[in-house]
This record gives sequence, structure tokens and C-alpha cells, in this order.
Amino acid sequence: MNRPALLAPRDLAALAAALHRATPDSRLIAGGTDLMLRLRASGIRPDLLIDLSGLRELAFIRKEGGLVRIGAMTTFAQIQRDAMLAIHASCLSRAAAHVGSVQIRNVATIGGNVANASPCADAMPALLVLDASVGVLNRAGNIERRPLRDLLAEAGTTTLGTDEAIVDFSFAALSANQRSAFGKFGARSSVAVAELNGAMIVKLDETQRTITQARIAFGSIGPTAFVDDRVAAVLLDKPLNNDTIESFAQACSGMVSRSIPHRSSLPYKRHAVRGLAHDLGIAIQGAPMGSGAAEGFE
Amino acid sequence: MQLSTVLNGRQVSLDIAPDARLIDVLRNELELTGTKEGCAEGECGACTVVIDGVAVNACLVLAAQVQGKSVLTVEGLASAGHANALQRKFVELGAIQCGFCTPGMLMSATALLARNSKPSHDEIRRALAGNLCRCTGYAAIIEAVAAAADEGGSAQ
Repeated sequence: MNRPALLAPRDLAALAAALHRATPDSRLIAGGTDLMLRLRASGIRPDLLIDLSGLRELAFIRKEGGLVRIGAMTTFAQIQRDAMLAIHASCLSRAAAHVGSVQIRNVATIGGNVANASPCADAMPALLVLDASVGVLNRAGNIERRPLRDLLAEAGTTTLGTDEAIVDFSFAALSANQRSAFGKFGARSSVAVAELNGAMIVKLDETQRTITQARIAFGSIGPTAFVDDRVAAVLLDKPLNNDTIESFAQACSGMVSRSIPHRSSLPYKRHAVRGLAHDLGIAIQGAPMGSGAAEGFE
Repeated sequence: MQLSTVLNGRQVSLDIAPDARLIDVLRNELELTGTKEGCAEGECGACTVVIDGVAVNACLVLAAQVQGKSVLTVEGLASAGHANALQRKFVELGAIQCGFCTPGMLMSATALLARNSKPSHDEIRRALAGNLCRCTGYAAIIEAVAAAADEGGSAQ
């Protein structure tokens, strides 16, 4: 039985050199909580494993002016605990808290979550509403920024090349009139794989009464997470109250019907998404307001 | 490849397969069978060990990734043949039934008590959310962790 070669780069130059040797059969391993299972289940034997866990420089959370930057090797435990993110990206903070168990969050990374591209990845809807961009390192050692949505492909794959690696994420910190929330629906209150998940950001007017902008993303409905403008439109120019949340819940139900018309899970998810919508509604009414210097999202 | 790590306070060095899981190296190579394999997919927590102070599922960790780190397994809790306070409370309060989940429970609780010496019952529940007990002895397990905390954590 052939064993893979293992490279454990300690800095980005060494990572770029390792990417030079990567083939379509090679795999990058971050926290490993998804990949270790995939390797065993699929019987795939990689020719090369590139272990990213020694890349300390990719484990960071920073706010630079109005921009938040998170290194790809930052764990969900670190994201969950970070006080700055709790204010400036509370949807991501809450998403991190909902990933797996303590043991999983201690090793699973945000970069791995995105690269693994599970349809139910919890970080994905949060990063999509934050309109995150992804720093991608290529084998030449150059880092190029791409919108996260451009990485989404089929379930379990991304548009990343075999000789590319995610190094960081960046997005605008929530501004003073913005609030965000994350919701998740699963079989248990913790340690559950999402059957539905979603994140939203709303911007309120000066009086804090009327919603002037809204952005919503959903996961676990179809092969990749997605932003849905039709559902968001329901919230525009409405007060942030229970009536608005009820029409939002109805719109979510319609969205599920449009998104997965032929899935056997449609009747269940069409109903369940209403619960998710109400959870999001309750969370966003109690969410902290951002106070980033940036003017928020488009 | 050569793996060097501090295991239960002692430096160990051994030859491992580059794609070996930590749990297989612990159980098969190092014969530390206290760490149990339950679901093998990160749901049950029976394989929990403490790496550099935090609880981790040994079934999901590449052994090569503990290079240069410090690994604590259930075998590292007792000293000179004497159970530590946490282990004693598990015995005294009937927090062990079949015993299969016990090593994982002990290691999750050890990581919790190391950073929070007086956890609330809620904090204990959250820290153990990734550990399943099929005998459903959760109430006694939570009491045992709380009692150990009252006695000064997992200290001997």
C-alpha cells in the first residue's frame, strides 16, 4: 500500500514550494476534521499530504481600519472567543460557536471549512453575507484576492487549483447601524451537522427603526451556500419587528421551494426554514451593533 | 517519518506512517489503549485526548500534526498508581457505568478544569457536549466534574 509523502511547510515560501509538487491527487490538510474522514471513507490515497498546521503565521484575527482579516489556519475556537469579532462580525462569531463540538472547534479551521466546501459548512453563509474575499496563494508565491462566491463550485469542491491554497479571509467590519445573526437547524442543539443554516446582516436607519439594507445567505439547501436577494428584499423599508420577521419566514419558505423543487427533503425544509427565519429574527433583534469605520456592504 | 512528541510528560520518538491517525498510533504503536475508538467520526468523543491544553478527537487528528506538541491521554492522569481527584470523583459518584466513554469524558473535563477551575454546571455541560454516554449517566458525570472542581480541579 502506497503511503503519501508528507510536507509540513513552516512559512508561505515553503508552502509555495510544496504547492509546486502538488498533483490532482494531493491534499492540503488543515485541522483535518473533514479530510481524515473523507480519506477513510473514500479510500483515496493521496500522493502528497501538505500539512498546514505548522503555518503559525496563518492563525490570526486582526482589524485593520475598517477591514477584518482572519488567517486561514485560525480555529473556530479562536473565532468563537474573539471579542472584536463578537462586535464586528457577530454572525461569524455565532457560526463558529455552532461548529461541531469543543473537540472539533479546537482544531477545525475557517480555511479548511471553506476549502472542504461541504454544503452545510457553518462558516460559509456567514462569510457570504459579510461579502468576504479570499487570499489565495499560488505556487509562484503570489497572493491573489478573489470574492468567496467565485470559489463556490459543486458540493465538496471549489474552483481552487491543485497548486493553490487559501491563506486568509477579509471583509468590512460591521458599521454602526448594522447588525448580523447566524442561525442553524439540526438534529441536536449542539454537535449537529446543519440541516439548514443561514446568516443575515441588516442595516437600520438613524432612528434604528427601519431596515435600509439586508443581505441573507443560506446553507444546506442545494450543493453550495448562496446569497438570496429575493428574500432580503422582503425586509427592505420595513421595521425590525415580529410582523416583518413573519413575512421574512414566508419568503424563506418560498425560497426553499424555488431552490430544491425536486428534493425529497423539500416539504420538511420548507417548513423547517420558517423556524430558522424566526431564530434569525430573534437573534438579529438582540444582536450587537457593529461600529466599524467602513461603510459596510453593498 | 519520525514523530517526536511529549506524551504524558515523557519525550517519545517513534517511526509512524505519514497518514496515520493519532488514535492508531496511541493504541497500536504505543499500546495506550485507554483512549477508545467509538464512532471514528468525531461525534462520540470517546477518543478525546488533550493536545497542548485543549481537548481534541484523536480519531480526526493526523498523528504527524502532534510533532513537537504535548499530548495527554487518560493514562497520564494517575500518578504512581494513584487516581487523581477527577478520576476518584468519577468512581465515588457512580459516574462510570460501562466505562467506555469514561476516558473521553475525563479528558474533556481535564481540559475544561485546566482553564476554568470553577466551572458552572452549564459550562460543564457545554464542555462535555462532544462526549456521548450510551448508558446515559450524564447527571452523575456532571456532578463528578463539579465535585472535582470543588476539590481543587484535577490536581492530584
